[in-house]
Amino acid sequence: MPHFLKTPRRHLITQVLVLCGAVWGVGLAMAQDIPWHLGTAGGQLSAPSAINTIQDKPGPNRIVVAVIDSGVMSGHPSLAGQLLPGYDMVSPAQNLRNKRSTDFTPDERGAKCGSRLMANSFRTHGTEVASLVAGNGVDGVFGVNPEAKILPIRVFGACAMSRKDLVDAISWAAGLPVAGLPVNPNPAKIINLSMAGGSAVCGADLQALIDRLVQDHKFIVAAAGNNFHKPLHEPANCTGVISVGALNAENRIEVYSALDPRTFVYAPGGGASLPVNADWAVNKLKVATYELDFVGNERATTRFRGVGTSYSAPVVAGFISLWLSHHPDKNFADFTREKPKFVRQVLPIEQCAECVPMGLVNTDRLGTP
Amino acid sequence: MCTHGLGQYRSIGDAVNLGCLNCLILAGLMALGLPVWADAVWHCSRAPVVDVATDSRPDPGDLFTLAEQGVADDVIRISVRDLIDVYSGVSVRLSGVPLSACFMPVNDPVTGKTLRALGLSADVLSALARKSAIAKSHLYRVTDEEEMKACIARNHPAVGYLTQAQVTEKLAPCF
Repeated sequence: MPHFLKTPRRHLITQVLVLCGAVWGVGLAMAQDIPWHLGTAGGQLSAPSAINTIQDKPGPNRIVVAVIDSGVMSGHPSLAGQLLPGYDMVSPAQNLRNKRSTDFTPDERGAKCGSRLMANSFRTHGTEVASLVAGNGVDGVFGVNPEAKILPIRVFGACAMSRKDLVDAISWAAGLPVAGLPVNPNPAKIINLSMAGGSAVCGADLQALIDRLVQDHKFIVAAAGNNFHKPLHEPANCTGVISVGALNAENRIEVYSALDPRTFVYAPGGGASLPVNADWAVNKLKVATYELDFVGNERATTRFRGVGTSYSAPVVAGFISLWLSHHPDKNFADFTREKPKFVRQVLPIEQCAECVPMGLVNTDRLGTP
Repeated sequence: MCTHGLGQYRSIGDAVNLGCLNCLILAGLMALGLPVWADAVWHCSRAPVVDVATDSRPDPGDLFTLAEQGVADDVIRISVRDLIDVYSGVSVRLSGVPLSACFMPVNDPVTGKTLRALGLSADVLSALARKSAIAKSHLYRVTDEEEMKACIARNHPAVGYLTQAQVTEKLAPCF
Protein backbone atom coordinates (compact mmCIF):
# COMPACT_ATOMS: atom_id res chain seq x y z
CA MET A 1 0.00 0.00 0.00
CA PRO A 2 1.39 3.45 -0.85
CA HIS A 3 2.77 5.30 2.16
CA PHE A 4 0.31 8.23 1.97
CA LEU A 5 -2.72 5.90 2.20
CA LYS A 6 -1.54 4.72 5.63
CA THR A 7 -1.21 8.20 7.10
CA PRO A 8 -3.87 10.02 9.15
CA ARG A 9 -6.17 12.32 7.19
CA ARG A 10 -4.77 15.62 8.51
CA HIS A 11 -1.28 14.45 7.61
CA LEU A 12 -2.55 13.44 4.22
CA ILE A 13 -3.97 16.92 3.61
CA THR A 14 -0.68 18.43 4.71
CA GLN A 15 1.22 16.12 2.40
CA VAL A 16 -1.04 16.94 -0.53
CA LEU A 17 -0.56 20.67 0.10
CA VAL A 18 3.19 20.22 0.36
CA LEU A 19 3.18 18.11 -2.77
CA CYS A 20 1.13 20.68 -4.68
CA GLY A 21 3.47 23.40 -3.47
CA ALA A 22 6.46 21.38 -4.51
CA VAL A 23 5.04 20.64 -7.94
CA TRP A 24 4.10 24.28 -8.40
CA GLY A 25 7.55 25.32 -7.21
CA VAL A 26 9.28 22.94 -9.55
CA GLY A 27 7.03 24.06 -12.38
CA LEU A 28 7.81 27.67 -11.64
CA ALA A 29 11.49 26.90 -11.43
CA MET A 30 11.33 24.98 -14.71
CA ALA A 31 9.56 27.88 -16.36
CA GLN A 32 11.95 30.53 -15.14
CA ASP A 33 15.24 29.03 -14.21
CA ILE A 34 16.34 26.50 -16.78
CA PRO A 35 19.39 27.94 -18.47
CA TRP A 36 18.73 28.52 -22.16
CA HIS A 37 21.68 26.44 -23.29
CA LEU A 38 20.04 23.27 -21.93
CA GLY A 39 16.81 23.70 -23.87
CA THR A 40 13.29 24.01 -22.49
CA ALA A 41 11.18 21.65 -20.45
CA GLY A 42 7.83 22.82 -21.75
CA GLY A 43 6.52 23.46 -25.20
CA GLN A 44 8.46 26.66 -25.71
CA LEU A 45 11.00 27.03 -28.43
CA SER A 46 14.59 26.22 -27.46
CA ALA A 47 17.46 28.49 -28.35
CA PRO A 48 18.78 27.51 -31.79
CA SER A 49 22.06 26.30 -30.28
CA ALA A 50 20.62 24.70 -27.11
CA ILE A 51 21.82 21.17 -26.47
CA ASN A 52 18.32 20.08 -25.39
CA THR A 53 19.26 17.72 -22.56
CA ILE A 54 16.99 19.14 -19.87
CA GLN A 55 14.43 16.38 -20.25
CA ASP A 56 16.96 13.55 -20.14
CA LYS A 57 17.47 12.00 -16.73
CA PRO A 58 20.96 10.82 -15.87
CA GLY A 59 21.51 7.06 -15.98
CA PRO A 60 22.41 4.88 -13.02
CA ASN A 61 26.20 5.24 -13.33
CA ARG A 62 28.02 8.00 -11.48
CA ILE A 63 30.51 9.68 -13.77
CA VAL A 64 33.50 11.61 -12.44
CA VAL A 65 34.52 14.71 -14.39
CA ALA A 66 37.86 16.32 -13.60
CA VAL A 67 37.92 20.10 -13.84
CA ILE A 68 41.57 21.08 -14.29
CA ASP A 69 41.43 24.81 -13.88
CA SER A 70 42.06 27.75 -11.54
CA GLY A 71 40.56 25.89 -8.58
CA VAL A 72 37.01 25.50 -7.34
CA MET A 73 35.43 27.39 -4.44
CA SER A 74 33.89 24.56 -2.50
CA GLY A 75 31.40 26.58 -0.47
CA HIS A 76 29.13 27.54 -3.33
CA PRO A 77 25.56 26.30 -2.71
CA SER A 78 25.12 25.36 -6.39
CA LEU A 79 28.00 22.91 -6.04
CA ALA A 80 26.97 21.48 -2.66
CA GLY A 81 27.35 17.72 -2.73
CA GLN A 82 29.01 17.76 -6.14
CA LEU A 83 32.71 17.96 -5.32
CA LEU A 84 35.13 15.13 -4.68
CA PRO A 85 38.44 15.60 -2.85
CA GLY A 86 40.73 17.29 -5.35
CA TYR A 87 44.25 18.60 -5.47
CA ASP A 88 46.29 21.76 -5.92
CA MET A 89 48.79 20.71 -8.57
CA VAL A 90 50.62 24.04 -8.83
CA SER A 91 54.33 23.47 -8.24
CA PRO A 92 55.85 25.09 -5.14
CA ALA A 93 57.94 27.53 -7.19
CA GLN A 94 54.79 29.01 -8.74
CA ASN A 95 52.41 28.48 -5.88
CA LEU A 96 51.69 31.37 -3.51
CA ARG A 97 51.05 28.69 -0.89
CA ASN A 98 54.54 27.30 -1.55
CA LYS A 99 53.48 23.68 -1.88
CA ARG A 100 51.16 21.25 -3.57
CA SER A 101 48.32 20.18 -1.30
CA THR A 102 44.74 19.01 -1.10
CA ASP A 103 43.54 22.64 -1.01
CA PHE A 104 42.10 23.01 -4.51
CA THR A 105 40.59 26.46 -3.93
CA PRO A 106 41.83 29.43 -6.00
CA ASP A 107 44.28 32.05 -4.84
CA GLU A 108 42.79 34.86 -2.78
CA ARG A 109 40.88 37.65 -4.51
CA GLY A 110 43.33 40.29 -5.70
CA ALA A 111 46.30 37.92 -5.33
CA LYS A 112 49.37 39.19 -7.12
CA CYS A 113 52.51 37.36 -8.18
CA GLY A 114 55.33 39.87 -8.46
CA SER A 115 54.31 42.38 -11.11
CA ARG A 116 51.94 39.95 -12.81
CA LEU A 117 48.32 41.09 -12.70
CA MET A 118 45.34 38.80 -12.91
CA ALA A 119 41.69 39.61 -13.55
CA ASN A 120 39.16 38.67 -10.91
CA SER A 121 37.39 36.51 -13.49
CA PHE A 122 40.38 34.20 -13.23
CA ARG A 123 39.60 33.44 -9.60
CA THR A 124 36.06 32.25 -10.25
CA HIS A 125 36.80 30.53 -13.56
CA GLY A 126 37.08 26.97 -12.22
CA THR A 127 33.96 27.32 -10.07
CA GLU A 128 31.95 28.57 -13.04
CA VAL A 129 33.24 25.78 -15.28
CA ALA A 130 32.41 23.12 -12.67
CA SER A 131 28.88 24.46 -12.29
CA LEU A 132 28.19 23.99 -15.99
CA VAL A 133 29.07 20.32 -15.73
CA ALA A 134 27.33 19.39 -12.50
CA GLY A 135 25.55 22.35 -10.93
CA ASN A 136 22.89 20.99 -8.56
CA GLY A 137 20.14 23.37 -9.63
CA VAL A 138 20.31 25.64 -6.58
CA ASP A 139 19.43 29.15 -7.69
CA GLY A 140 18.92 27.95 -11.24
CA VAL A 141 22.43 26.70 -11.92
CA PHE A 142 21.81 23.35 -13.54
CA GLY A 143 24.77 21.40 -14.79
CA VAL A 144 24.22 19.29 -17.88
CA ASN A 145 24.51 16.27 -15.58
CA PRO A 146 23.64 17.11 -11.96
CA GLU A 147 24.43 13.51 -11.02
CA ALA A 148 28.05 13.81 -12.16
CA LYS A 149 30.75 14.42 -9.57
CA ILE A 150 33.48 17.01 -9.99
CA LEU A 151 37.13 16.25 -9.31
CA PRO A 152 38.64 19.74 -8.86
CA ILE A 153 42.33 20.10 -9.71
CA ARG A 154 44.11 23.44 -9.65
CA VAL A 155 46.88 24.14 -12.15
CA PHE A 156 46.57 27.92 -12.52
CA GLY A 157 47.38 30.39 -9.81
CA ALA A 158 48.42 34.01 -9.83
CA CYS A 159 51.89 32.99 -11.05
CA ALA A 160 52.85 31.28 -14.28
CA MET A 161 51.80 27.74 -14.99
CA SER A 162 54.17 24.91 -15.72
CA ARG A 163 53.64 22.34 -18.45
CA LYS A 164 54.74 19.64 -16.05
CA ASP A 165 51.94 20.63 -13.67
CA LEU A 166 49.43 20.16 -16.47
CA VAL A 167 50.80 16.73 -17.37
CA ASP A 168 50.80 15.75 -13.68
CA ALA A 169 47.25 17.06 -13.26
CA ILE A 170 45.91 15.09 -16.22
CA SER A 171 47.72 11.96 -15.07
CA TRP A 172 46.48 12.25 -11.49
CA ALA A 173 42.94 12.99 -12.64
CA ALA A 174 42.92 9.78 -14.65
CA GLY A 175 44.20 7.71 -11.73
CA LEU A 176 47.77 7.32 -12.96
CA PRO A 177 50.57 7.48 -10.40
CA VAL A 178 52.31 10.85 -9.95
CA ALA A 179 55.56 11.02 -8.00
CA GLY A 180 55.11 12.43 -4.52
CA LEU A 181 51.32 12.42 -4.60
CA PRO A 182 48.80 10.04 -3.11
CA VAL A 183 46.85 7.98 -5.60
CA ASN A 184 43.61 9.61 -6.67
CA PRO A 185 40.83 7.45 -5.18
CA ASN A 186 38.24 8.83 -7.62
CA PRO A 187 39.70 8.59 -11.13
CA ALA A 188 37.88 10.70 -13.66
CA LYS A 189 36.26 9.30 -16.75
CA ILE A 190 36.19 12.74 -18.37
CA ILE A 191 38.85 15.43 -18.07
CA ASN A 192 37.77 19.00 -18.83
CA LEU A 193 40.49 21.43 -19.90
CA SER A 194 39.09 24.95 -20.27
CA MET A 195 42.48 26.26 -21.27
CA ALA A 196 44.46 27.01 -24.38
CA GLY A 197 47.86 28.17 -25.45
CA GLY A 198 50.82 25.85 -25.46
CA SER A 199 52.24 24.91 -28.85
CA ALA A 200 50.72 25.19 -32.30
CA VAL A 201 51.62 21.51 -32.72
CA CYS A 202 50.71 19.06 -29.98
CA GLY A 203 53.81 18.14 -28.01
CA ALA A 204 54.98 14.52 -27.84
CA ASP A 205 54.61 14.46 -24.03
CA LEU A 206 51.00 15.56 -24.11
CA GLN A 207 50.09 13.41 -27.10
CA ALA A 208 51.57 10.27 -25.53
CA LEU A 209 49.60 10.86 -22.34
CA ILE A 210 46.37 11.53 -24.23
CA ASP A 211 46.87 8.43 -26.38
CA ARG A 212 47.22 6.35 -23.26
CA LEU A 213 44.13 7.82 -21.65
CA VAL A 214 42.01 7.40 -24.75
CA GLN A 215 43.07 3.74 -24.85
CA ASP A 216 41.93 3.54 -21.22
CA HIS A 217 38.46 4.76 -22.29
CA LYS A 218 38.91 8.25 -20.88
CA PHE A 219 37.60 11.38 -22.56
CA ILE A 220 39.59 14.59 -22.80
CA VAL A 221 37.52 17.68 -23.58
CA ALA A 222 39.35 20.94 -24.32
CA ALA A 223 38.31 24.49 -25.11
CA ALA A 224 39.23 25.54 -28.64
CA GLY A 225 40.53 28.82 -27.23
CA ASN A 226 39.46 32.45 -27.45
CA ASN A 227 41.99 33.54 -30.04
CA PHE A 228 39.58 35.36 -32.36
CA HIS A 229 39.44 32.89 -35.25
CA LYS A 230 42.99 31.61 -35.22
CA PRO A 231 43.85 27.88 -35.40
CA LEU A 232 43.80 25.48 -32.48
CA HIS A 233 46.69 25.30 -30.05
CA GLU A 234 47.40 22.76 -27.34
CA PRO A 235 45.67 20.95 -25.84
CA ALA A 236 42.76 21.25 -28.29
CA ASN A 237 44.98 20.36 -31.26
CA CYS A 238 46.07 17.00 -29.84
CA THR A 239 44.69 13.89 -31.51
CA GLY A 240 42.01 12.22 -29.45
CA VAL A 241 40.94 15.44 -27.75
CA ILE A 242 37.35 16.60 -28.11
CA SER A 243 37.98 20.24 -29.01
CA VAL A 244 35.07 22.60 -28.43
CA GLY A 245 34.38 25.90 -30.13
CA ALA A 246 31.83 28.48 -29.02
CA LEU A 247 28.41 29.27 -30.48
CA ASN A 248 26.08 32.08 -29.66
CA ALA A 249 22.48 31.25 -28.79
CA GLU A 250 21.50 31.59 -32.44
CA ASN A 251 23.82 28.82 -33.65
CA ARG A 252 26.56 31.08 -35.02
CA ILE A 253 30.25 30.71 -34.26
CA GLU A 254 31.27 33.44 -31.84
CA VAL A 255 33.74 36.08 -32.98
CA TYR A 256 36.28 35.17 -30.30
CA SER A 257 36.24 31.42 -30.84
CA ALA A 258 39.21 29.68 -32.46
CA LEU A 259 38.43 28.69 -36.02
CA ASP A 260 39.89 25.48 -37.32
CA PRO A 261 38.49 22.62 -39.41
CA ARG A 262 39.80 20.21 -36.76
CA THR A 263 37.39 21.53 -34.12
CA PHE A 264 35.46 18.44 -33.04
CA VAL A 265 32.23 20.13 -32.03
CA TYR A 266 30.72 23.49 -31.09
CA ALA A 267 28.53 24.28 -28.10
CA PRO A 268 26.96 27.35 -26.54
CA GLY A 269 29.69 29.66 -25.26
CA GLY A 270 27.90 32.95 -24.94
CA GLY A 271 28.92 36.42 -26.01
CA ALA A 272 27.38 39.79 -26.60
CA SER A 273 23.64 40.14 -25.97
CA LEU A 274 21.44 39.46 -28.97
CA PRO A 275 18.76 41.79 -30.35
CA VAL A 276 15.94 39.25 -30.15
CA ASN A 277 12.85 38.98 -28.02
CA ALA A 278 13.67 35.66 -26.37
CA ASP A 279 15.02 34.48 -23.05
CA TRP A 280 18.28 33.48 -24.75
CA ALA A 281 18.93 37.08 -25.84
CA VAL A 282 21.18 37.36 -22.79
CA ASN A 283 23.53 35.01 -24.69
CA LYS A 284 25.63 34.22 -21.64
CA LEU A 285 25.79 30.98 -19.72
CA LYS A 286 24.34 30.84 -16.24
CA VAL A 287 27.07 29.91 -13.79
CA ALA A 288 27.83 29.65 -10.10
CA THR A 289 30.17 32.47 -9.26
CA TYR A 290 31.20 34.97 -6.61
CA GLU A 291 30.98 38.73 -6.44
CA LEU A 292 31.53 41.50 -3.95
CA ASP A 293 28.61 42.89 -2.02
CA PHE A 294 28.21 46.60 -1.33
CA VAL A 295 30.52 46.50 1.67
CA GLY A 296 33.19 44.63 -0.23
CA ASN A 297 32.62 41.12 1.08
CA GLU A 298 32.75 38.27 -1.38
CA ARG A 299 29.55 36.26 -1.63
CA ALA A 300 28.30 33.30 -3.62
CA THR A 301 25.87 34.14 -6.37
CA THR A 302 24.62 32.91 -9.73
CA ARG A 303 24.76 34.98 -12.86
CA PHE A 304 24.44 34.82 -16.62
CA ARG A 305 28.13 35.59 -17.03
CA GLY A 306 29.79 32.73 -18.92
CA VAL A 307 31.43 33.93 -22.14
CA GLY A 308 34.13 31.97 -23.91
CA THR A 309 35.14 28.56 -25.17
CA SER A 310 36.06 27.88 -21.53
CA TYR A 311 32.32 27.60 -21.00
CA SER A 312 31.54 25.61 -24.15
CA ALA A 313 33.91 22.83 -23.12
CA PRO A 314 32.17 21.94 -19.83
CA VAL A 315 28.83 21.86 -21.63
CA VAL A 316 30.27 19.11 -23.82
CA ALA A 317 31.97 17.38 -20.87
CA GLY A 318 28.61 17.36 -19.08
CA PHE A 319 26.87 16.02 -22.17
CA ILE A 320 29.34 13.14 -22.48
CA SER A 321 28.95 12.39 -18.77
CA LEU A 322 25.19 12.22 -19.24
CA TRP A 323 25.64 9.80 -22.14
CA LEU A 324 28.17 7.72 -20.20
CA SER A 325 25.84 7.56 -17.20
CA HIS A 326 23.72 5.29 -19.41
CA HIS A 327 26.60 3.65 -21.30
CA PRO A 328 29.60 3.54 -18.95
CA ASP A 329 31.65 1.23 -21.18
CA LYS A 330 31.62 3.44 -24.24
CA ASN A 331 34.77 5.20 -25.36
CA PHE A 332 36.06 7.99 -27.58
CA ALA A 333 35.80 5.81 -30.70
CA ASP A 334 32.14 5.09 -29.87
CA PHE A 335 31.44 8.78 -29.35
CA THR A 336 33.11 9.62 -32.66
CA ARG A 337 31.15 6.89 -34.43
CA GLU A 338 27.86 8.01 -32.88
CA LYS A 339 28.60 11.69 -33.31
CA PRO A 340 26.16 12.16 -36.22
CA LYS A 341 23.25 11.59 -33.86
CA PHE A 342 24.56 14.21 -31.41
CA VAL A 343 25.10 17.10 -33.79
CA ARG A 344 23.45 19.54 -36.10
CA GLN A 345 24.84 21.92 -38.67
CA VAL A 346 26.12 25.22 -37.42
CA LEU A 347 25.62 28.26 -39.63
CA PRO A 348 28.61 28.33 -42.00
CA ILE A 349 31.29 30.95 -41.55
CA GLU A 350 32.94 32.64 -44.51
CA GLN A 351 36.33 32.98 -42.84
CA CYS A 352 36.80 29.22 -42.98
CA ALA A 353 35.56 27.69 -46.22
CA GLU A 354 36.80 24.23 -45.32
CA CYS A 355 35.11 24.22 -41.91
CA VAL A 356 32.00 22.10 -41.51
CA PRO A 357 31.04 23.19 -38.02
CA MET A 358 28.76 20.89 -36.06
CA GLY A 359 26.92 21.95 -32.93
CA LEU A 360 26.16 19.59 -30.08
CA VAL A 361 22.51 18.70 -29.60
CA ASN A 362 20.54 15.87 -28.13
CA THR A 363 18.54 14.84 -31.17
CA ASP A 364 17.79 11.45 -29.67
CA ARG A 365 17.44 10.18 -26.14
CA LEU A 366 20.89 9.75 -24.62
CA GLY A 367 19.79 6.65 -22.77
CA THR A 368 18.90 4.72 -25.91
CA PRO A 369 21.41 2.09 -27.10
CA MET B 1 34.84 41.00 -54.06
CA CYS B 2 31.94 43.37 -53.61
CA THR B 3 28.61 41.93 -52.67
CA HIS B 4 25.55 43.86 -51.65
CA GLY B 5 22.05 43.00 -50.64
CA LEU B 6 19.49 44.50 -52.98
CA GLY B 7 16.95 45.44 -50.35
CA GLN B 8 18.31 48.92 -49.74
CA TYR B 9 18.34 49.92 -53.41
CA ARG B 10 15.48 51.01 -55.64
CA SER B 11 16.56 48.84 -58.57
CA ILE B 12 19.21 46.39 -59.63
CA GLY B 13 20.75 49.15 -61.71
CA ASP B 14 21.09 51.35 -58.61
CA ALA B 15 22.61 48.47 -56.76
CA VAL B 16 25.16 47.81 -59.48
CA ASN B 17 26.06 51.47 -59.74
CA LEU B 18 26.37 52.00 -56.00
CA GLY B 19 28.12 48.66 -55.59
CA CYS B 20 30.70 49.54 -58.21
CA LEU B 21 31.19 52.98 -56.69
CA ASN B 22 31.84 51.37 -53.32
CA CYS B 23 34.16 48.89 -54.95
CA LEU B 24 36.14 51.72 -56.51
CA ILE B 25 36.37 53.52 -53.19
CA LEU B 26 37.50 50.36 -51.43
CA ALA B 27 40.02 49.58 -54.15
CA GLY B 28 41.39 53.10 -53.78
CA LEU B 29 41.69 52.74 -50.03
CA MET B 30 43.41 49.40 -50.42
CA ALA B 31 45.85 50.90 -52.92
CA LEU B 32 46.70 53.47 -50.27
CA GLY B 33 47.43 50.66 -47.86
CA LEU B 34 44.53 51.45 -45.58
CA PRO B 35 43.18 48.41 -43.76
CA VAL B 36 39.58 48.63 -44.91
CA TRP B 37 38.68 45.05 -44.07
CA ALA B 38 41.28 44.41 -41.41
CA ASP B 39 40.19 42.77 -38.21
CA ALA B 40 41.51 44.58 -35.20
CA VAL B 41 44.09 42.78 -33.08
CA TRP B 42 43.51 43.14 -29.36
CA HIS B 43 46.57 44.33 -27.48
CA CYS B 44 47.19 44.37 -23.76
CA SER B 45 49.80 46.04 -21.63
CA ARG B 46 52.72 44.08 -20.29
CA ALA B 47 54.06 44.05 -16.78
CA PRO B 48 56.41 47.05 -16.69
CA VAL B 49 59.05 45.43 -14.52
CA VAL B 50 59.65 41.72 -14.41
CA ASP B 51 60.88 40.88 -10.98
CA VAL B 52 63.09 38.00 -10.03
CA ALA B 53 60.21 35.88 -8.77
CA THR B 54 58.50 35.80 -12.15
CA ASP B 55 61.45 36.15 -14.47
CA SER B 56 61.53 32.50 -15.39
CA ARG B 57 60.47 33.05 -19.00
CA PRO B 58 58.87 29.77 -20.00
CA ASP B 59 59.16 28.07 -23.36
CA PRO B 60 56.26 28.79 -25.71
CA GLY B 61 54.97 25.29 -25.04
CA ASP B 62 54.63 26.22 -21.39
CA LEU B 63 52.39 29.18 -22.04
CA PHE B 64 49.08 27.60 -21.26
CA THR B 65 46.43 29.75 -19.77
CA LEU B 66 42.72 29.62 -19.25
CA ALA B 67 40.96 29.72 -22.60
CA GLU B 68 39.48 32.95 -21.38
CA GLN B 69 42.73 34.79 -21.26
CA GLY B 70 45.73 36.02 -23.22
CA VAL B 71 48.71 33.76 -23.64
CA ALA B 72 51.89 35.81 -23.43
CA ASP B 73 53.57 35.36 -20.09
CA ASP B 74 53.97 38.94 -18.88
CA VAL B 75 50.91 40.34 -20.62
CA ILE B 76 47.98 41.12 -18.38
CA ARG B 77 45.41 38.37 -18.30
CA ILE B 78 41.87 39.34 -19.03
CA SER B 79 38.90 37.41 -20.30
CA VAL B 80 36.52 38.02 -23.18
CA ARG B 81 33.99 38.87 -20.51
CA ASP B 82 36.36 41.48 -19.07
CA LEU B 83 36.79 42.90 -22.55
CA ILE B 84 33.06 43.29 -23.05
CA ASP B 85 32.64 44.68 -19.53
CA VAL B 86 35.36 47.28 -19.68
CA TYR B 87 34.17 48.65 -23.05
CA SER B 88 30.65 48.74 -21.62
CA GLY B 89 31.80 50.94 -18.77
CA VAL B 90 31.76 48.20 -16.14
CA SER B 91 34.66 48.33 -13.72
CA VAL B 92 37.13 45.46 -14.14
CA ARG B 93 39.96 44.93 -11.70
CA LEU B 94 43.18 43.03 -12.02
CA SER B 95 44.76 42.14 -8.71
CA GLY B 96 42.86 45.09 -7.31
CA VAL B 97 43.96 47.57 -9.99
CA PRO B 98 41.33 48.97 -12.39
CA LEU B 99 41.63 47.95 -16.04
CA SER B 100 41.69 50.77 -18.58
CA ALA B 101 40.45 50.56 -22.15
CA CYS B 102 41.54 52.71 -25.05
CA PHE B 103 39.49 53.36 -28.17
CA MET B 104 39.63 55.42 -31.31
CA PRO B 105 36.85 57.71 -32.50
CA VAL B 106 33.61 55.84 -32.96
CA ASN B 107 33.40 56.81 -36.61
CA ASP B 108 36.68 55.04 -37.27
CA PRO B 109 35.81 51.97 -39.41
CA VAL B 110 38.04 49.60 -37.46
CA THR B 111 36.54 50.77 -34.18
CA GLY B 112 33.02 50.35 -35.49
CA LYS B 113 33.65 46.84 -36.75
CA THR B 114 35.59 45.81 -33.64
CA LEU B 115 32.95 47.02 -31.23
CA ARG B 116 30.10 45.57 -33.25
CA ALA B 117 31.83 42.19 -33.22
CA LEU B 118 31.65 42.27 -29.44
CA GLY B 119 28.06 43.45 -29.54
CA LEU B 120 28.98 46.88 -28.28
CA SER B 121 27.49 50.11 -29.48
CA ALA B 122 29.75 52.91 -30.58
CA ASP B 123 27.16 55.41 -29.36
CA VAL B 124 27.20 53.94 -25.88
CA LEU B 125 30.98 54.01 -25.84
CA SER B 126 30.93 57.59 -26.94
CA ALA B 127 28.59 58.49 -24.13
CA LEU B 128 30.66 56.63 -21.59
CA ALA B 129 33.79 58.37 -22.70
CA ARG B 130 32.43 61.83 -22.01
CA LYS B 131 34.48 63.58 -19.41
CA SER B 132 32.06 62.92 -16.60
CA ALA B 133 32.22 59.18 -17.14
CA ILE B 134 35.89 58.72 -17.89
CA ALA B 135 36.99 58.64 -14.28
CA LYS B 136 34.55 55.87 -13.46
CA SER B 137 34.89 53.71 -16.50
CA HIS B 138 38.59 54.13 -17.25
CA LEU B 139 37.85 54.55 -20.92
CA TYR B 140 40.29 56.68 -22.90
CA ARG B 141 39.65 58.12 -26.32
CA VAL B 142 42.63 58.39 -28.65
CA THR B 143 42.91 59.68 -32.17
CA ASP B 144 45.24 57.26 -33.96
CA GLU B 145 47.27 54.10 -33.56
CA GLU B 146 50.32 55.86 -32.11
CA GLU B 147 48.14 57.34 -29.40
CA MET B 148 46.54 53.95 -28.93
CA LYS B 149 49.91 52.39 -28.19
CA ALA B 150 50.82 55.21 -25.85
CA CYS B 151 47.45 54.90 -24.10
CA ILE B 152 47.87 51.17 -23.51
CA ALA B 153 51.41 51.66 -22.22
CA ARG B 154 50.58 54.64 -20.02
CA ASN B 155 47.51 53.17 -18.37
CA HIS B 156 48.80 49.72 -17.43
CA PRO B 157 46.84 47.52 -16.95
CA ALA B 158 45.12 48.44 -20.18
CA VAL B 159 43.64 47.01 -23.34
CA GLY B 160 43.17 48.42 -26.83
CA TYR B 161 43.33 47.38 -30.47
CA LEU B 162 45.56 47.91 -33.47
CA THR B 163 45.18 46.93 -37.09
CA GLN B 164 48.42 44.90 -37.05
CA ALA B 165 49.89 42.70 -34.35
CA GLN B 166 52.77 44.48 -32.63
CA VAL B 167 55.03 43.50 -29.79
CA THR B 168 56.83 46.16 -27.82
CA GLU B 169 58.25 46.40 -24.34
CA LYS B 170 54.96 47.83 -23.18
CA LEU B 171 52.32 45.88 -25.08
CA ALA B 172 51.65 42.69 -26.99
CA PRO B 173 48.71 40.97 -28.66
CA CYS B 174 46.36 39.28 -26.27
CA PHE B 175 43.75 36.55 -26.94
